[in-house]
Amino acid sequence: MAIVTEEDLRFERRWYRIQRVGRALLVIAIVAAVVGVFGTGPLASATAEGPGGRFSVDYDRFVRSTQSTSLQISAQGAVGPATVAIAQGFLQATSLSDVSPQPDSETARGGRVVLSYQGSLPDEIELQLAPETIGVHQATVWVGGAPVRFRQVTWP
Amino acid sequence: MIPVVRAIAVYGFLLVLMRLMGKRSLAQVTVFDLLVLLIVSEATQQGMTGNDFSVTNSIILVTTLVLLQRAADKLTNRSPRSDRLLNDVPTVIVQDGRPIADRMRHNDLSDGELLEEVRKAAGLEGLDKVRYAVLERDGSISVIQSG
Repeated sequence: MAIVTEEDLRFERRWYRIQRVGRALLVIAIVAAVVGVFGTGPLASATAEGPGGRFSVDYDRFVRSTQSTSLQISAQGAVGPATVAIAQGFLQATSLSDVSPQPDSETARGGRVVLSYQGSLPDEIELQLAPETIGVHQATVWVGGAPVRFRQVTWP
Repeated sequence: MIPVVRAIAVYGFLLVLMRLMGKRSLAQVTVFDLLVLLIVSEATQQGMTGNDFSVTNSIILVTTLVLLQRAADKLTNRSPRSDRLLNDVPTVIVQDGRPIADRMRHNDLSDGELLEEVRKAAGLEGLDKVRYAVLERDGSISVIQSG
């Protein structure tokens, strides 16, 4: 007498194919994690340079919503007003938690949050950010009035 | 992310992961398999709770997970297709003492593992007295002795 089971060889053959594809995708995801696509890794951080390379912004390409991140601004060659501004659209997805050194004033105008320093800009400025909204966010930072643009991906 | 969404995301991911890994992924063959299972539960727990260690959060998470499990049970009881998709199907791996090689290979089952299970399940020393061996949906192996 043949055994009675819910065996379904057609389903199994189809499922083996799905398993192979799924397992390959999992391996790709882990390789992506190692290189930094989900944050922390060689591809996770980048530098965006301002016009003429006068200043640069080090930022994280990939961040997670529960972890803080920072923007390191090197402003040695920056010209123009002693201000750093961040697009308000970007700050709706990522809140600004700390600035070092502290600016003398902070105002919101023309779709930007403007941090003003008396005299000249410090050589190095660090902005601490707390990513909140998941997704791809376009960021614009103005240093001395000159813009630099980059994208940041926030993972859950 | 609100705790309910976190719980659904983790539940869904684990379901897909375990189905992709196959029947034997949680069979707890060795002590190390059990250790890996404990590490997985610890890692997922942090993903679900986040920074909120409150009693309220844990109650929401546990309730969500139990309801999801109940919904999955209802679905698989009503629909054979969903049952196959979520819980897999049993596979005959030995017939009349002969292992079926391609099914063994697809389920990452070695001859040594099969013999071990045959010894444990039926107290037999080899496959010659096995009429059927079935890899069940939970990863265990049932052995039916020949006449």
